Amino acid sequence: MASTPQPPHDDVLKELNWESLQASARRRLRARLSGFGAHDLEDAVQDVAERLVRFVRRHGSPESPEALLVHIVRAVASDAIKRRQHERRLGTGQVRTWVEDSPQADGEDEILEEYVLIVFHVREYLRLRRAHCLPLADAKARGESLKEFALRHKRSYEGVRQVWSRCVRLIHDAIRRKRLRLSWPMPWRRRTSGE
Amino acid sequence: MSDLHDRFRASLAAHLAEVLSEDESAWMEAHARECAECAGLLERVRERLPGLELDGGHAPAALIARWIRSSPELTPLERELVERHLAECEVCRGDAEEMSKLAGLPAVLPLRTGPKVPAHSSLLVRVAASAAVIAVVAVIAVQLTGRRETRLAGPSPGTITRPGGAEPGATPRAREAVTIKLLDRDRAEAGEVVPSATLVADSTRLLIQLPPIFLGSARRVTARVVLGEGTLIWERVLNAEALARPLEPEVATGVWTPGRYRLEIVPEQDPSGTSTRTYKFELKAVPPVPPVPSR
Repeated sequence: MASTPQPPHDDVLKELNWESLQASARRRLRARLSGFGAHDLEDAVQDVAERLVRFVRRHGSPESPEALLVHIVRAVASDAIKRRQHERRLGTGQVRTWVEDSPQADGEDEILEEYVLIVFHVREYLRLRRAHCLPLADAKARGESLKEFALRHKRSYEGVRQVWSRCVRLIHDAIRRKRLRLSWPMPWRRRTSGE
Repeated sequence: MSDLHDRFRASLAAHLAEVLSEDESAWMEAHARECAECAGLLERVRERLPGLELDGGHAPAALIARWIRSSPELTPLERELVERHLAECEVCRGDAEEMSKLAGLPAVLPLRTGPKVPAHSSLLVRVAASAAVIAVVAVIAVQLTGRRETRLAGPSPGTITRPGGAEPGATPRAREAVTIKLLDRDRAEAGEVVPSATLVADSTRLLIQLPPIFLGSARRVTARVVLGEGTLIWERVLNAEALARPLEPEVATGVWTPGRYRLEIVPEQDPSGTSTRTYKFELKAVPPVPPVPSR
């Protein structure tokens, strides 16, 4: 009789300390989902665990399990909050999740992660420099484009671009002087052979 | 053609962040007009950007992981940007504490600075088996804008301060503690604002509270206080956890003198000194309140 094939990366899943991971997830979700009931919180914890399992099955052992956990917790919390907001406004609960299970979504996720990394450094550096374009950096951190910002604030797009470009020169200067490096591999993404 | 795809994909995040040069940005737009596949990728990622609204502004988990695991790999500026953010963002600070715990690493994170300390804000303390903890004493906030001096609440008009009999909230009695709260802005490379505190003449106790500091895997540090150009005032080897609470360096004479000082924190196994943190501070003296002559 043929033996039942093992699910992928089963050994990795067994090595993870699920009790610690779930306890951490619960603590961080509780911090983010104030106002949510205990039942919703436990649902969110389960959601985190499921996404973690799915990730490991697809990609194998994460280089940084703690970073992956926090990344998933943030996504789950964000989805839960948006779902509640949608339910209150429209009576529907469909929210696109951050982490999806498809090669296409994997590629998009990586680009989004890189985007978040870039805008974090840009924003914090401009804060350090007390740059006048900080509101624009805040907008970028929220995922807003300069065009959208100009529209929302009833300002000329060209004017906003000019202000931003002066600040971008500060960033380029810091990169040239090797004070900032705006991209590096995501620590939890292991490269499989052939990539 | 795949080189063009690779180039497009590699620059897409920066393009959406609108930090590319004009030439690069123009190339990206031109390529997207010619390549349906890349245009599709651009649109799909662009559509997901509004999803960042809730978590926008927080430090990416990957970066926090890099900070807690291998800070020497970050440039000094990158480290400072993360630490400044952690000092101000309770959510990211909580995430960093949790990640340190899961990773089995010690992390020293400060109490949130400012008048309001959140109920759940806590210092992550990982006690070594033979840790000797330095005693913690009171904290006095130091104004860091400009070079304004800070002193404890002075005596209200008409209040007489007698040695050993100071009213509550009056000028510090002799041997009371004076605290300096250091921020990462005061690191040697910044050098813009030097926190200062005023010593009452007989005050002998100085407390120094550190900003966020990452020590990687170092479990012990050498802490030293140096006066002026190089006079060593105090030096001690401490467990990393001790940095989570205010340090109380001791001066041989028992009395701190006014002057410019610096606190150096040197992680163990750092012979090159590249990970040494230096914080400047200044102590200023005022004469004690004279006793009111008796009638």
